Amino acid sequence: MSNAPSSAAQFAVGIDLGTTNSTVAFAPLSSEPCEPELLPIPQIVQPGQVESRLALPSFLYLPREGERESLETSLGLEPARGVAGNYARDQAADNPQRVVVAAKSWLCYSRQGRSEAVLPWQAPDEVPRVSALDCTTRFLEHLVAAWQAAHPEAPLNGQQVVLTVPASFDPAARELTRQAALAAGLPEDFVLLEEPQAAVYCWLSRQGDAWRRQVGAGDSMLVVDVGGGTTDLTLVTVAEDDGQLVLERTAVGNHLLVGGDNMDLALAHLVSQQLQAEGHSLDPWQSVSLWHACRAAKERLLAEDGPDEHTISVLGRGSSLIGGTISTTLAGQQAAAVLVDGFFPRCSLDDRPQPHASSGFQDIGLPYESDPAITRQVAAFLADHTTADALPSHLLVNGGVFRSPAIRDRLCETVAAWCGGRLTQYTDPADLDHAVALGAAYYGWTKHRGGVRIRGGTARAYYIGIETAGLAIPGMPRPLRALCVAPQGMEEGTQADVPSEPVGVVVGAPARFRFFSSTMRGDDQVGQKLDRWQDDELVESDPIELQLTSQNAGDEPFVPVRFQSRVTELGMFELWCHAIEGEDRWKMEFNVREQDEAPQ
Amino acid sequence: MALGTAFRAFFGSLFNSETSARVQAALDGEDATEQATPRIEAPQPAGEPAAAKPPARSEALTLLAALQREARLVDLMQEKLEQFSDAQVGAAARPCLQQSAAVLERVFALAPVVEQAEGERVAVPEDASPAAYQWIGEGQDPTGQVVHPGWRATRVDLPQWTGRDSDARIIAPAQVKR
Repeated sequence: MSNAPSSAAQFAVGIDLGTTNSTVAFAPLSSEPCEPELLPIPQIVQPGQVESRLALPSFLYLPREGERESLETSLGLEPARGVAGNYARDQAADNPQRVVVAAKSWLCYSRQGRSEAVLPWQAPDEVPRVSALDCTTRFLEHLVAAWQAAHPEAPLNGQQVVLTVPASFDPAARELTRQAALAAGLPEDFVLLEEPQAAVYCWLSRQGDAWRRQVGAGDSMLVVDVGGGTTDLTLVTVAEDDGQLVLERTAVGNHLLVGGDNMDLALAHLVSQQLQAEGHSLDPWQSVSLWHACRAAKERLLAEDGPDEHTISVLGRGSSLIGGTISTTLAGQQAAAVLVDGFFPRCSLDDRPQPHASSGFQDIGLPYESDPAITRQVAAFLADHTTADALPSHLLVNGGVFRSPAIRDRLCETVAAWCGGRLTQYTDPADLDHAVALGAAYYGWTKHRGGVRIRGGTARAYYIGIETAGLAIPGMPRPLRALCVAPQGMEEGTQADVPSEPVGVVVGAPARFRFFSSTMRGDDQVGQKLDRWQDDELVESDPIELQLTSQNAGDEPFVPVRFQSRVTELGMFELWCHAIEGEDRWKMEFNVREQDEAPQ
Repeated sequence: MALGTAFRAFFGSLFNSETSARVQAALDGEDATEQATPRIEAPQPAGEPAAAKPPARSEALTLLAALQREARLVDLMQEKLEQFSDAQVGAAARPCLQQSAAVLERVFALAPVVEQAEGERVAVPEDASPAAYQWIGEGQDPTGQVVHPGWRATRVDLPQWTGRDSDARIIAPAQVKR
């Protein structure tokens, strides 16, 4: 029962807040073994009709005023603030201007849209706007309401809740997710868990104690988690500590905006070109039908013993269903060329993502990956984080796209070729869509009942930018120095004083520091100063700031402080300033608003 | 007893304003004892709070709406089939039937009544219901050859209707472009 936070909790609840689908899994804390199940989520499927599904599509429809009453449910959600789920996803075809898609991608895209109400992107004026933060809160409120309706005897804010985030989420995106979660009614002590780790926990829960025979000390497991909109890479190594095998998450990749939906769209693009060549054109509604038809075609054509070709039909709109139906045949080889060779090309470990490959996904305001080749992204990840003698020995894949054996085999063969052929691959096709939620629930269960834990701490090292003193040259920015405030792998529940010169925080004006993270500089220690670095070594995210009032500082114009970094028990990174004289401490906050003013 | 009273209270209130006023008074806790004592406890039979309210919408229409929404089955069936060639009908029917099957699978999780495949022998229980097992031919043998394995729903998980009563017969909305 070590550090069990909610002693009265009856359930472990895992929430996977996905880019395109959200799922909830739960397990009673009293049962052993832990066998999490999925929560059915009631949602609007058509005005006046509610149906329970195992996933809540992460789409938010902003209804017209006259529609709101028909979109009310017994869950007590307020339709005026947006309707999540199946109906919202269907409306993306007919009323795309009123539907927010991929809110999660906006949440980690630091330029805009996180807390500003700019979504749906480029919507006409009569449509209300929301921010990615509002949107995330709405999805979570819906999931919380679904839980309360199903378990009125066990309010969610008293349960052991685990919410997953991409491993690649930066501290500001995690903080926003936490704010949304608390606003939606999750308990104060809910835990954030990285999605690929959740997939590993799902694997561990399926293996039971057998996992200790599957891997040995010195092994490492590459986790490739391809979601609807993002791809997340993580490396977990196996070590021996006091005769026990321990797991440690040693590296995570950068945020890659390419996922299963891009693959279905790529196939739909191919088919629509083929249809155009045959003299048919599709309206937007038919295009979405085509997208769904292509998802089905993908699974059929790339299945084991799949057919050589598959007929894709898009029904006519309105009353001309049969007369307006357009059909074409898609050959298995064509589908394989687009999907397997396009997204998982064979490549060598020395290959790198191509910066200017055309992708066609640029039009919705998000910085989609310019190179959709996931194998090349994996190659770059392994080259950055492993050495030739420590390449992965195990591969765990997660995400619906891996239901296709052709895609699974291609990824596995490609990685195996780099690793000298010794690579054990794990997939449980039944879990591919739900492993993250199931694994999160299992993780919550182990917090109460015990079980193997993946160590890891922070995935990245964090830095703040400090302008160097010296002569200012008009028109030139002062040279910037990066100060490491947290090393990679800083453990949950620890803190570190950052050795540095005193820094003066001016009273009455925000003291703002540029903030950077690095997945690549694994050896930097806290207090390390960098005068120069490679462009790709440090990634800048939102600035972190602090505003002191005269109440904090007395009559002094500025307060000399040093920094202290903390990683909370719940996995949140925090940076604090503490006054050199006296005991005062202040927490710094990420500024996620739009940067219209230059930092002072 | 309680359920019967609930029905009486409900239908009484629905069709008779005097009864309605008395039930209202009883619900509000006013003294209605001189009328009929049991009615005071009637409205909330344990576990069946909505027992008296008939569904505003036929579940058959809810199912039809789901088949239209997800598979456009009504559109297909309402087409004038004689105007089209077999190939055209086939092309439209394939996705429509596939999606209809997906709806039925989700809502009813269809399964055969007997595990045995067509042509295999099956033992029919002595007390088998004629709704579940239909004999073809005569004899005393309690086993027989499966001609059709039958179908049954392993669950019934229909969408819930939450709309207005006046919309209860709408299967699909008219779509109007601006």
